[in-house]
Amino acid sequence: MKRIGKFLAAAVLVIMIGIQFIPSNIPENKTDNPDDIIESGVVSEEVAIILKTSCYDCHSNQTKLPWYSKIAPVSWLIAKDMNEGREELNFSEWGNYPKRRLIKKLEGISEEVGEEEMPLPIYTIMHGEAKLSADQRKLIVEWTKNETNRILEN
Amino acid sequence: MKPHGIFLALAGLVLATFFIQAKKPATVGRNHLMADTVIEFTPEVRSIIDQKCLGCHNPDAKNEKAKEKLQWDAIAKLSKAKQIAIMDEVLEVLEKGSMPPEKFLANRPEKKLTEDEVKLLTEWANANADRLLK
Repeated sequence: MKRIGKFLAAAVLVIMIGIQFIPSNIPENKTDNPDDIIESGVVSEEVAIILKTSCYDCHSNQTKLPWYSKIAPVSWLIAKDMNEGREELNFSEWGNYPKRRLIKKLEGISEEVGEEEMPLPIYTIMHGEAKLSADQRKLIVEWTKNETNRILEN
Repeated sequence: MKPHGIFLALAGLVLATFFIQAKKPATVGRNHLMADTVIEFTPEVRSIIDQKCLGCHNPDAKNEKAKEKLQWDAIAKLSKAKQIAIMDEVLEVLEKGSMPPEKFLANRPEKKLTEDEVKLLTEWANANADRLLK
């Protein structure tokens, strides 16, 4: 029995070390983001803080990567969330989106934040400060409505 | 003189009715007041949607996700912003080739959108989005 135990432990260790060599696919960060929504000045200070704290890690080119993001298999999950997040909505590219896309993204933000689907629970477990209060959600939803009207009227 | 007078009066009346008709707005086809707040379907587009999209995107469909995301026959009731958002989503899925979904097409390859259909839908969605955004 002891032998099997030792063998299994060794096997797990080998696997854990081995998977570190599989590339994780974490997308690169960009320090220069001229199309970033906050840079453009369309959001209030309050909204900007919420976006940066609760959304930017998945939905921008400026992800803050913690130490465990380098360790597989956690790095794979982080990579997946970052890639999907950026593809679905990237605040760093906001200035590049045509009007109709902006309207769609604002609708999506209003829904996801309003219905408490975003930020993802698996993210807020690790990042308590990113959890949104009811008031913060209300602020974001209101902002999406105002911004949509502003775009439609211009 | 009298017969000429009557003739002229009648001619005048006939001409007047022509003018009145010319000023009446066309009521056949679109209502101009609604034109900039609602998506409009052409018969060709409607036919493609009926054949290839309505199966999932209708209120009686089995697929919950599809039902929630879009129901073609309920579009007119949505806000202008939501309609624009739908047109943009249509453009995105056409660009990516992600609709109808691969899983669905595996058993029903005839439901795949042809190149011409994609082109038509793209032009249509673009035109509607632009019109609603004016």
